[in-house]
Amino acid sequence: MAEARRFLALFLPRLATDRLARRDPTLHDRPCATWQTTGSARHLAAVNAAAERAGLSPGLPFADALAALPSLVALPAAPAADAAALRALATWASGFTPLAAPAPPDALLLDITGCAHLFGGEPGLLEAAAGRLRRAGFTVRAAMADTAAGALALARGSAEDRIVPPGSQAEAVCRLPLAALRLAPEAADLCARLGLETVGDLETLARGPAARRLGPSTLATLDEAMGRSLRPITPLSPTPPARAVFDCPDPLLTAEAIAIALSRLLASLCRDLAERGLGARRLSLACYRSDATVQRLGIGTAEASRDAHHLARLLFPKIERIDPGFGIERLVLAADSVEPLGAYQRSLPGPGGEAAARREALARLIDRLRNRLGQEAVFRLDPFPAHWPEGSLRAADPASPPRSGPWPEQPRPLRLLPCPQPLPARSPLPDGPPETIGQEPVTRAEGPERILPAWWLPPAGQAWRDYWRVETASGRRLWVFATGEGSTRAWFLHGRFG
Amino acid sequence: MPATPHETNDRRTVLDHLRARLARLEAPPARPALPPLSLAPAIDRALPWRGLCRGALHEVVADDEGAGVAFACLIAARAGPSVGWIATRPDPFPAGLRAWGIDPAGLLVVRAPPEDLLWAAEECFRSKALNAVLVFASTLSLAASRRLHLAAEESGCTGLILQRDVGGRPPSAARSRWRVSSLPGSPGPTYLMPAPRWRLDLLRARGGDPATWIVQWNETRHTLFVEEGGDG
Repeated sequence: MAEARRFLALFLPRLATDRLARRDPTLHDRPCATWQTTGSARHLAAVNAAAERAGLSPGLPFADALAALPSLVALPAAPAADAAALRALATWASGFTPLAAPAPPDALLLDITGCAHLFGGEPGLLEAAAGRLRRAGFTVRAAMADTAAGALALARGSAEDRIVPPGSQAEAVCRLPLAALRLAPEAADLCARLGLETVGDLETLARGPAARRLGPSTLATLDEAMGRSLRPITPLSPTPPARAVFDCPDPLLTAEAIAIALSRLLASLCRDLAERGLGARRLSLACYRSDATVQRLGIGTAEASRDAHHLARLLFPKIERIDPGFGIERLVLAADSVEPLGAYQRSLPGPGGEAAARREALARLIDRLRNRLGQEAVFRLDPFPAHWPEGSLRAADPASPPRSGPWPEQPRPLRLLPCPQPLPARSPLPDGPPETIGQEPVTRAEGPERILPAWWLPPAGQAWRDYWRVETASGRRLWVFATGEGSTRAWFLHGRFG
Repeated sequence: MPATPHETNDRRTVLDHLRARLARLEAPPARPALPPLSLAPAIDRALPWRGLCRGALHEVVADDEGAGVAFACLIAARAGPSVGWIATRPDPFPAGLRAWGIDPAGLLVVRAPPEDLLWAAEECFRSKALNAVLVFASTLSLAASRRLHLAAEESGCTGLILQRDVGGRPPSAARSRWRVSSLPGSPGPTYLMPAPRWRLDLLRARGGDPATWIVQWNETRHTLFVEEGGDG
């Protein structure tokens, strides 16, 4: 039998004004409101506690509000910013459970099935989540129940935090005022005209003959709140294949402390991966700060790995980028991408084991170098069919199987200038080798090897190149070419021989 | 139970005992000795290791940007198939490297900014993935060279530091320092390229003496031919 699910709803009734007060703490104690334009009139959209005490409420015309309370700080409503703030809070809440989702416009939903024991039971979890939000400056009402919709209705309809024991959700929801369900305006009007006040009244009516007048959506909302039908929540991010969580007894403030916590997380995650025969290709570390924000960093590996030491060497240099703010309360290390990784013998004798060890060492070296220098800074050069020598190379991933190339058989320099360099060379014959380069006489010249431009390229500006291998009087051996004819013939240096 | 040195009054015995203990402490962990890299019989004879020692740092200075690199490449190719090339602007041309014995499929190219160049070099030396690493460094302090040498010694990687020949170099922990100067090829028709010909100066070798050779590279047999110099 599947475990009974439990949900935590966090209702943020003053999200809009709390968000403003977090940016400007002076707004905390002053009456503050946001306004929006409906048609040609401006109305209040949200008010903070001080403004409500002064008698203001959402929906009041803006002019009336200002007349009643001239000291009101009023700012335009920003629904998009509110939604972004809610999403950010949902990301933060995923530190409690990976199944956390925003419930727009003003609540968070957490599937806490099997999580509560980590916080010393459901009261502990509720206190941890709601308490941290309150300390971060949010007005919160929390409720725990058996379904997401039920918990949400309880949070919105109750005056204080509550935990409804398993199985008694329907009873508790029945006692809520009808407004907790957030019915559509027409349905709410109808209920008011019918004299319904609580969810229980609606429930009684819905069982009777008047049910059809309420419409299917009202009944569906009711069924969800009562726990008769289930709607799964859609978590912000998919649950990672493997994760490890570290709750800090005291908020972490220093890089050293984070490093110690991170090594514990790595050890536990790698043990988990080993048991399941997996290796991580991508890791992310999320740091949940006490001000309800999240700092993240991530790494990738060239080959799947579950070697805690190796992964630590990749992650540790990035710790400095974490800003702990007023302290980090929770660290979650997740393997976002995993691949099967068999058990391998580290010191297997014989050439096979040595080759495997070397391959593994190479993958780790590449990871470390890329982690610091960037993905593009570490590569192998593979042949590419192109006419010009500078185009005949391709940077390839060194971990990919090598392409044994058709490299040209003609003599080639060991260093190639990425861009041919104009050369002060002179040649007595119209198609002969250079006689001097700068002041230095050319003593030997072998060539020419004519390389034509690719036929599919436009002919303009694409003359052939006559390559010569030359040796100067001092013994330098160069790869030079001439391009153009007659007076436009110009010399370029393109490579160096040994 | 054997008598501890403190119980004997013989100074010599005490010292011998301590010396033996120190030797045990200082001895590197038992590791199969790596065979030296052979350059050419005449050069090998003059080197204290009977060839160029692996698992160590060597310096190559050159004015010619081709010859010095080619000499380092031929050493690297003899160390093994996996070779690293670390530079701020790496410009190896695999098609030409094959002439010096380097397999392009085993070449790992690393582009590192000047401030990270030696860091990248140490990482490459330390990892057991590469047989030899070419590092194009502009300067190398004594401390840095010591660190790099230790990293190479630990993994058995042959480290080659390539620098411009500016003269008056600071002391370094590298096991040897070479200067490569290109020379005009041996006489022949002007329309054919001669075989590469260099003057090789062994400026410094730990436990050996400086020496000079004139060498030619045989591109078909991949061998260095010593024309003159050394004891040959």
